[in-house]
Amino acid sequence: MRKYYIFIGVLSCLVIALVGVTFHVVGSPLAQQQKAQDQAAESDFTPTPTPSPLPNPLEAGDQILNASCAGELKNGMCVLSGCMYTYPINIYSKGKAVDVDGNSFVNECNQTGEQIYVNFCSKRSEQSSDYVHDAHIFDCPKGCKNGVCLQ
Amino acid sequence: MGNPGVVSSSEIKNVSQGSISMWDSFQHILLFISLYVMATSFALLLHFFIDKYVPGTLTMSLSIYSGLYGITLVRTELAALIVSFPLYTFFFLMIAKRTLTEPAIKSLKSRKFLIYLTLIVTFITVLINIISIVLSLLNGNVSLNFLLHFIDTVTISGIIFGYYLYQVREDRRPNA
Repeated sequence: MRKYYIFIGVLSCLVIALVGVTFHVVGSPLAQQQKAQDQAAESDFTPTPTPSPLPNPLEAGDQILNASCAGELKNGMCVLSGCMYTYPINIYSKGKAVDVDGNSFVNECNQTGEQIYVNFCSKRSEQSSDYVHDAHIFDCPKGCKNGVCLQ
Repeated sequence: MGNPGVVSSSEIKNVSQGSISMWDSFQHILLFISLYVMATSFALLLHFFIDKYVPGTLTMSLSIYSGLYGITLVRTELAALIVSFPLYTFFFLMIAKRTLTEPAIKSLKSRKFLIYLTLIVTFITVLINIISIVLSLLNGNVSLNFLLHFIDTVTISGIIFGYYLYQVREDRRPNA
């Protein structure tokens, strides 16, 4: 019987260690919920500004929509160093960007339902080869619903 | 008519087998269900850590564990492990104690069936994993991420396979 207790003891240590580490990494459900709410609030009201603003917002929007993928295309995503986003960018279909920490930023409508926050990736700086999450506001001519412009 | 004071070995066997009930089969079924859930959730949690800390060849691994869906998946695996592990421990110790007092349990049909089923499933799992790593080696696509996933699955399947193979050998021993 002793060998069975030793086996269960070793197994218990492994399971407790794994559960403890997972709790530490994933965090408690309440903390995660708060983080998700904070992220949603941030993406609703204060989208990350474009690091290299262009003089005309419409021009900048066109450049974003027509920009080609500078990285590798995989499963409908443009995968860059440090960031990836749905490619091609289309305000009439669901899109998202995912940063290096695995945070997902899904395109969202603004509160009035007239504009859309489109998430994509842009260079950290002109000289850098790393990309970071970025967002741009587009007007939806026929309104916005569930993160897409109505056609 | 035999000697009334002497109990034959066949009588001992009958008495011993008579005390084995459906409850023993039921306990074995629950033990193995707990084992499958526990082993799967344990392995999947390790896969999550591998993807998180040793991502694939791309800078960002297109892992199923990213985003809100991924967190829910990890929590589900965690919950499964938290629930299945005490159940497995309970049934494992209960059956181990009972097997010591009732060695005839070792010849229980449901126990044998479940042990052999587990051996087959773990063997197939290990076999598929070895084939996939050999294929990746031939294609030149082996990454550290892939290797760790392989080690994770093969180690857990291998431990279960080894343990139950040992059990089968113990059960087949004439004096067991």
